[in-house]
Amino acid sequence: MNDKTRKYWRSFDELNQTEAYQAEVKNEFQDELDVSTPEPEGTSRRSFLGWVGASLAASGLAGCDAIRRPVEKILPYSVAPEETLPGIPQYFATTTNVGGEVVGVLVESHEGRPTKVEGNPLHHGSLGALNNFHQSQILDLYDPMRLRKTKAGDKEHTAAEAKALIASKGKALAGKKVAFLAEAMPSVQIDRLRAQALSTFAGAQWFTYESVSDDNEREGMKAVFGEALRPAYSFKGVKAILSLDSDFLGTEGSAVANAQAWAETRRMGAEGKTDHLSRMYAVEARYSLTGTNADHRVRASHAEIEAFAFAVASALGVSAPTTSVKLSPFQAAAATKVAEDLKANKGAAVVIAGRNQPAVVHALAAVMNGALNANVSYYPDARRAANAMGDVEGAKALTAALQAGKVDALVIMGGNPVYSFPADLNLAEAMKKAGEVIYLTDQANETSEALDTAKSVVVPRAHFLEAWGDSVYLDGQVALQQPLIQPLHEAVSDVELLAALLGDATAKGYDVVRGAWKAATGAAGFHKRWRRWLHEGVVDAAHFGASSKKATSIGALKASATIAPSANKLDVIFMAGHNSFDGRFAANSWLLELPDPLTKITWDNAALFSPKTAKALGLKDEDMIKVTLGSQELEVAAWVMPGQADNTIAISLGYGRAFVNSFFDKEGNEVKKITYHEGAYNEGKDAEVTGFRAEALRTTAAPFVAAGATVKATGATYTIAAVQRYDNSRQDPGFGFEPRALVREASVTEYNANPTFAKPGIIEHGKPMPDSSKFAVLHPAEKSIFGDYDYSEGFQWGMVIDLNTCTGCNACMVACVAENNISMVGKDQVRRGREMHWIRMDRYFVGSDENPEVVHQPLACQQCETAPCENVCPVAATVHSPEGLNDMVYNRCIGTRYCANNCPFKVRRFNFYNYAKGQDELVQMQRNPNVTVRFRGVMEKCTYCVQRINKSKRRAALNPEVAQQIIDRITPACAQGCPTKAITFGDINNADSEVAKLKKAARDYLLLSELNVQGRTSFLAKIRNPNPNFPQASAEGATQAG
Amino acid sequence: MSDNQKIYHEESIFPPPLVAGKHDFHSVTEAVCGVVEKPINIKWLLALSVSATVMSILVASIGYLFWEGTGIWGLNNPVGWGWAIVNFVFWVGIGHAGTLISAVLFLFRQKWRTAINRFAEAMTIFAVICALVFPGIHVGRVWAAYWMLPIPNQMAMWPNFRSPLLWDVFAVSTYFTVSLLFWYVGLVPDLATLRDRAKSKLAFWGYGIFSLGWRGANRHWQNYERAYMLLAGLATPLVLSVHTIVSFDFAVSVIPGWHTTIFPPYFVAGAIFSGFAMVLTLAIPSRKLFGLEDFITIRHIENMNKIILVTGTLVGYAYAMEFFIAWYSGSPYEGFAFINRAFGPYWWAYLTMVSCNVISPQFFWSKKMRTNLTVTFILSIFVNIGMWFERFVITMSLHRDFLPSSWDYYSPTIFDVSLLVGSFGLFFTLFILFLKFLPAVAISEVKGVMPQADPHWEGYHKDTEAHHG
Repeated sequence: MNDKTRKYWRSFDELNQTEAYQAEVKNEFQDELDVSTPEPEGTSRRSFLGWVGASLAASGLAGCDAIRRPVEKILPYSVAPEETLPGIPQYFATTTNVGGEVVGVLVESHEGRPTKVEGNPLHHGSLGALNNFHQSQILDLYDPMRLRKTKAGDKEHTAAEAKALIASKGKALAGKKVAFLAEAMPSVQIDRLRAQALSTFAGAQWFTYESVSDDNEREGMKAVFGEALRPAYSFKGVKAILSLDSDFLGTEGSAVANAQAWAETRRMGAEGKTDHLSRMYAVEARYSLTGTNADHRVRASHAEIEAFAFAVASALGVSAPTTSVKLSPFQAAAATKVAEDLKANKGAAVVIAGRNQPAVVHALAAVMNGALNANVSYYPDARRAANAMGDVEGAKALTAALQAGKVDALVIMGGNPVYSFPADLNLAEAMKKAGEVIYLTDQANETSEALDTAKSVVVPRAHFLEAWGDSVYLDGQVALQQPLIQPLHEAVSDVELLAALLGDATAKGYDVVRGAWKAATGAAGFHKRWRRWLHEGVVDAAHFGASSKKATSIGALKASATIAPSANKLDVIFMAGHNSFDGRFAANSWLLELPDPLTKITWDNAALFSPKTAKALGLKDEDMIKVTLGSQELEVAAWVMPGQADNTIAISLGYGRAFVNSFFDKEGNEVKKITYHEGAYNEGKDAEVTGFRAEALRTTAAPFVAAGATVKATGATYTIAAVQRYDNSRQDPGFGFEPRALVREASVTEYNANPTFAKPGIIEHGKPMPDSSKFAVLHPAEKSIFGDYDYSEGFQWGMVIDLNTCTGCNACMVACVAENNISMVGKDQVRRGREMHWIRMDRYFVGSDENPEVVHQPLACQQCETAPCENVCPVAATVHSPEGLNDMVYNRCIGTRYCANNCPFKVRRFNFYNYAKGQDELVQMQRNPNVTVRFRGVMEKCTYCVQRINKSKRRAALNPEVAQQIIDRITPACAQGCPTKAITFGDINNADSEVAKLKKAARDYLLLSELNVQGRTSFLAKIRNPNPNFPQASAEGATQAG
Repeated sequence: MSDNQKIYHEESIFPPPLVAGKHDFHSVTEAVCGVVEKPINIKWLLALSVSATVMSILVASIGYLFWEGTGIWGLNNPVGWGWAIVNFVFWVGIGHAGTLISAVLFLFRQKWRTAINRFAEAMTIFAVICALVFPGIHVGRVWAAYWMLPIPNQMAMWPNFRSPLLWDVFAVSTYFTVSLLFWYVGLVPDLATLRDRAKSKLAFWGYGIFSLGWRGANRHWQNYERAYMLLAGLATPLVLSVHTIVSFDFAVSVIPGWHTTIFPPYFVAGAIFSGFAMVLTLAIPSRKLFGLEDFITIRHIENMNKIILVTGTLVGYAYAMEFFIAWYSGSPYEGFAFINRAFGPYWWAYLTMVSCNVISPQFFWSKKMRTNLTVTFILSIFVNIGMWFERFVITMSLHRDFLPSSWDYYSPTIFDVSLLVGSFGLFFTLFILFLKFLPAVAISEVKGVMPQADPHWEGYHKDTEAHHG
């Protein structure tokens, strides 16, 4: 065969030399993936050479570029792992537990590194979303302060050695008095091992302790049902909600699931329906996130809340105890109206009592719900053994046993009891009387510090992403916990520790958990079943079902002895921290730097006072005070919080943690300093202890709300880094100017009369104000200098944020931090106004100082079509994409900060220092490889998660048959993390997309539209659903007696 | 007729001589060159070492800035520009008087300018050098600051010609180049004089190279006059353009308080105002120290005070007009921005600005004040302070813009302060070196306005000899 005539061809196009093929051949740099972006104007080779010649002249300057090129190390696989494609992340389902609240999660893993935790849509506690705590836990995995090795006496052990050691100790302890002190662990495996342990060690006792305690609810339920059931609320079709000091949208149980269900009762969609809207009443002393979302918030002292509950119950025909506390006339009238509304919505009304409310209020809420035929189910408490003692009761019993020398061995599983136990117990002293202590902990902390080294074993605890296990949700749904990574250090998991103690010296979590499930569900078809469970993250069968018991009476419960607070006998309310929870996250910079949703304080907590009380006590923000409560004292900074009940101090738990880094070094100095916050920029300086340990005021007598505190100013002041302060917490700018129309809101009635009320009315000179708009601005309409670009072709990305369903919980902020490698800058930098969050949560007070309403507004880059930032950049480092994104080119940015100055929304963030550089190599493992880590001197901002958009576009190009579905599913991290789905993202050019439909909604509006910036993010105005018959709270203070 | 009117009347008919004292051409040369030729004295060394020390603060501050990043300044999220930009605008403003005196007054045949033009031009050059320090160092990544220049590169990446910062780059560098050329051209005949009088080899060669072979030939003078005239013509529009364009940095933005069309004329007036104030601040001590009272006379100082009065009042008008327009525009953002300026957290800066810039020049309505050196000196310092604060007040519009949630307060750090202080060190170091090594007064030009330069001068016959000294 003649070789010259032989023709090799790759495609029919090539064989036939079609036109398309020839055109393709000519194109040297083919973009095989359709990115639907026009080719940039190239430089021809000839003109390129011309430039090269001309550039020689400037080559001296170009040499400057050689400075500070970062040194990059790469570590190739010597043996490539199977089933991983470098650059393609994998997702695994697992489950996590924060204080007994479990959720199923999906974890993103890049080349074996878990980088982001997302919700598992199949899990009832998550439904695809997560709260701040669950999302931030990924950072704890890489915490450089985690314990590395087991320490027994002065010896260090690996995990295998530690297990053997514990097994030998377990043998020696047979027949001895062993006390277990564990966190709340709702888990099938832990239940099983606990039962085994209690039978193996005769005389063993198991105490469960959570600092953020549900003791009150437990007591209340016991009184009603005879057992400690837990209520699960369904908000489906609910029209009236009464929250008695409950933060069910924020820090209380099942908040993620509750917020999602609640949001459905507030979602108006593109059509703007209002018939189904629920109405929420909140009665509370401190301002909670839930209170900010209420249609009517009644400010009441702790004692008054109980009286309010009694009044509502009586009006509903439920017999309630009598109380000596008097409601103010307004409160009494409000209680009547609330009861009327609840009664009118029988079957669609629900009453929820908060954690800090006494048992009687919980019991009464259950009975009221029974009377209202509310959709509330009651489940057994999976978090502790049936008939186990309550948190405080258990803590008392354990301390007493220790004091009496009745504990041969104390096994502490997680938690930090020395820090979080009621202060009057003095566990640190009592613990020294234990024969020996085995402490499973992730960090050296107050408890490990208090141990007698000679007779204790401190075992590093495996992170949930390193461990096998399972979890049981409130409603009995079981989820499997599988590790994504080998333990980074010599860590032992909860399950392994118990198994080792029970004699399995080489306990492997996998064998223990899988073996138990195999034994429980039978070997037949187990492998297949197991694989499916692991894939889905949840097990088919529920662990238990709802109780059939009915709530009929509150039993023997009486009004709790409450006295109304006064200026020299203040109430102290202990709250679970929005960012600290119970202190377990005290080293987590993502949470510490997250502004508190109400006070906007970062890195610290403070004693919150109402403006009136602060004035009466002569206090202002940042004054140091000494709070005395019986024999307990605490020096703490004061902060004024509008809307709080008078004569009440509210303070978050979980701050003032002392980190003992000297645990590692040999000097043994007691350093009460946080020497390192994981992931936060600290300029090489030691950070001081953040916040104040409210736990120091907590006693077994009053662990929730303590009465009778006195306050004295010490004269000192303390610096607090708050991102919004008194002078910028309102939409009215001051000097008599009209409030700015930022968060636009109306009542249902107003909305129905004029659905387009939120549209801007820009008044031109000499023309009357249009009737259609509440928010007319007298501002001449600006025009674009450079003409308008045609955005009618291709994908055009846009976003809609529904202010009606946004609760202000900050989950979007944490999701964004995790996705986009955002630097945490530390307290000092935040105080200087340099926080880096790409999406922030603006909080404004509306109304009087004493009892204002609160509105939230999530704000990220608006991706303006005529972006003011773009034309001012001298080096064209921020430019517009044809898809309507305002792109930030980090490589090109020289940091003039002109763009940030010219941004009307002030959403651009500047790297004033090399924030990302100082991070520990371990913390760097969390970073998302698809997002550039920004260097010093570079501007950054929200990108609409462009890496996710581009990834989906690539996938769509490769899978044309499902391209539309892939494009429709593009979700930025904030929208994905939002528990209430308040953020909708998509292609606005596609009329069928959700976002395009929402943009047509009557209440859709653009922020600062009068500037003609034409943002791509629009807001759906907030619609409140007030009760028209509700009494008017006259001027400030009238909401509260006294 | 009152005394004032009488003096005015007499002056308009018989203007006082531009050079006081009994001077002839030779004594002028001696007086001016003498400053350069006398051996370095201790006073001068002391002054130089003080200013060089202050300048080293600038160098150290910049060094630390490069090492650490712009975080060492007090900047924060709403306030992305702080003292660095304030200093930049301040120094560019100072740099205005030089060209105005040299070029504009030259074209208008204002002969009184000759005594101070050299001086003022030098000040311009040095002020612009001080100004140019800031745009370069204020960026986050200084090592890439040259990307602002249109240098061809393999990325085919041009700067963004829509950005006012880029216009700044062109405006200020053009101004600097033309001012430098103008100054240098004017120096050539005087450098030749110094060369001819040089006693050391070094001075001979040094002045020789820079005097470009000047021999005082008729042809040289002809070319010189023409070049000088052309450069004056070129420089004149620049006086207006530079600060106009600097004002665009603010005016082109959308920020309330910045987004206003009054800025170009307002900035130019302010720049001339501050430039003349700085000339006075420098001239009053220098004429005393170097014995140049005969050349920089009270008449010069009075004339400059008149310009300060005019421009200061113009600036005051601009302040008032800003407020009026902010209200009249009906824009709530503008309205708020201005009320906030005067009564918000930065009220003290606004008060300083208004009292220094609008109130203090009003003293110059009185001739007594205009001709009093002490008063003039003190008021010129006030004007300098006021004009710095004007730029500060304008830049601080950033601290409260559209969304109250991002409002914040800017306070400078020690590194902001050290830059301003250090830039004065740089300025004075350059100026002190100039006074010692270059003729501070334009010798040839001063001779040109002396009575002796008039061929029909009656004193000519009397002492013809004196000219050939």
